[in-house]
Amino acid sequence: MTSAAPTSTAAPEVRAVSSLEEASQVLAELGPDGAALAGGTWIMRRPLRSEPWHRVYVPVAGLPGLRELDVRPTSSQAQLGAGLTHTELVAELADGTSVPAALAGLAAAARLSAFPQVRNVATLGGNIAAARVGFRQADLVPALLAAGARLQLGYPDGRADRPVADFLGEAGRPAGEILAGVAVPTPPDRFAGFGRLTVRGAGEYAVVNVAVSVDVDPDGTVRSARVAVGALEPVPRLIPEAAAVLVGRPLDGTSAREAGSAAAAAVDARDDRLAPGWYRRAVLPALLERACAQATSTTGPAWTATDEGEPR
Amino acid sequence: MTYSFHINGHPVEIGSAAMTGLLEVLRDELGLRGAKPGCGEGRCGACTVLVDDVPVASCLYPVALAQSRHVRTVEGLAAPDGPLTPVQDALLEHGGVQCGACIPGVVMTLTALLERTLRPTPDQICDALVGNLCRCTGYHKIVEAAVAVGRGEER
Ligand SMILES: Cc1cc2nc3c(=O)[nH]c(=O)nc-3n(C[C@H](O)[C@H](O)[C@H](O)COP(=O)(O)OP(=O)(O)OC[C@H]3O[C@@H](n4cnc5c(N)ncnc54)[C@H](O)[C@@H]3O)c2cc1C
Ligand code: FES
Ligand code: FES
Repeated sequence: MTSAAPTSTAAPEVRAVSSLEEASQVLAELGPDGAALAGGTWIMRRPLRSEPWHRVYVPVAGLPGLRELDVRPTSSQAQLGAGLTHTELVAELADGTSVPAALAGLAAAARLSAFPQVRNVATLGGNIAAARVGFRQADLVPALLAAGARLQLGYPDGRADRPVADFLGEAGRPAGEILAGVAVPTPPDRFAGFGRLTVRGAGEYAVVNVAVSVDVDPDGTVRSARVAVGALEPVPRLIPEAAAVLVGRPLDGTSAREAGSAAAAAVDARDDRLAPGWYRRAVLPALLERACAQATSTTGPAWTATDEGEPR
Repeated sequence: MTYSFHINGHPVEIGSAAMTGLLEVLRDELGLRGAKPGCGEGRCGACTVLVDDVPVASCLYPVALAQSRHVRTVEGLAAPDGPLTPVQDALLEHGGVQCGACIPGVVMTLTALLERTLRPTPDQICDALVGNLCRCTGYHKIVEAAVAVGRGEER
């Protein structure tokens, strides 16, 4: 993968490889002429975005290790392979009883994204990588940011671990860098939620998406928090100003709305075809309240909503 | 480079360029015109086919990824002179078909749902159909048809 403009106008080639290392090497050699191919649901729309094809695509989603999945209630972190589809994430994470509460936001994001025909094909790795190249509405990304997830990256000469925000924030990635998987910390006192608003009731890109995760003391006080927002700025990101509002008090509708207002003040929300920027900021407090309500809904502390309406 | 996979149980070898959408291959190379080109961007579901029993938007599915897989289209459900499947019968009986443009995709989505979930609830049916747009029926008749199949009224 690379940020340099691809050059080819001829029909692209797909080059199969058998390991992550080989994929990294092939892509490193190809430089701007090559790209990883996962579900293809973003790449196949390149012509619609008037983007030229790369000369060579290297399928990665089925490579050994990229379909790994380890979600145990007793373990301190979940391991999710980058080749898992949104549908597989829902199937594995949405069972509220045996899945750590820290993963509830990611499960909701995977469930609410796109359409079944797309969720059955689009992958975790493709969602994260697409967020770097223009897909600011990628639903899994705010959930991963709020969850404090770390990306496992493969290179021709080895591997490295990076926080999601670093991967998203740096301009230009080295050719041959492949997302192998994601490690999500799952401490027992962490609770997570996700909210999104779409123009139609279901499907469609989010006008705003927001994710939260909180670490809660036994007396119900929020010890630490992370809030992430997507679809507003070119790349989804953590909003520390919003997280700070949640810390040192119990999580409830009032604190969630205040945090949402802090988030709205901190973001640079763009206008686009779906909605103007002011509208996106205006709905943020209500969406964050919903996300926080979800975070507390199963095993978390008791929830008190604001008067402005019961969150869904 | 050729790609080998199964269509409706039959092995095929396809010489199309690797990133050609499966929909184009089905329609233009194999003459299977059931799956429809609607939006061409994954939003309407008219092109829905099953890959290894799972509904996918074939317009966005690179033929290279179909290698060694089993693809099912609406043509594989009932022989031209044979009986329709319970899903197809139910859609007709419940008035779930009007212009028909969305129907091959709807049939494939519902076929996959009913293979996994014997008696889907209306909510499960609606969730499964979120990616299948229908401009004619208003969906209610389609949902009723799927509920009826689940109840065994169409077998
Ligand atoms: C109509 C429609 C609606 C959608 N709605 C939503 C939505 O609401 N929310 C949502 O979150 N998603 C949605 N999606 C899915 C989303 O737009 C992307 O298409 C999807 O997340 C990309 O995943 P993929 O596996 O198909 O990636 P691909 O298209 O295969 O690749 C996407 C990018 O990631 C790179 N890449 C892929 N895998 C790796 C890897 N392992 N390492 C490094 N680079 C990699 C590729 O080179 C490419 O740049 C929608 C898609 C469609 C078609
Ligand atoms: S034509 Fe494929 S989803 Fe519309
Ligand atoms: S019957 Fe006409 S689009 Fe569905």
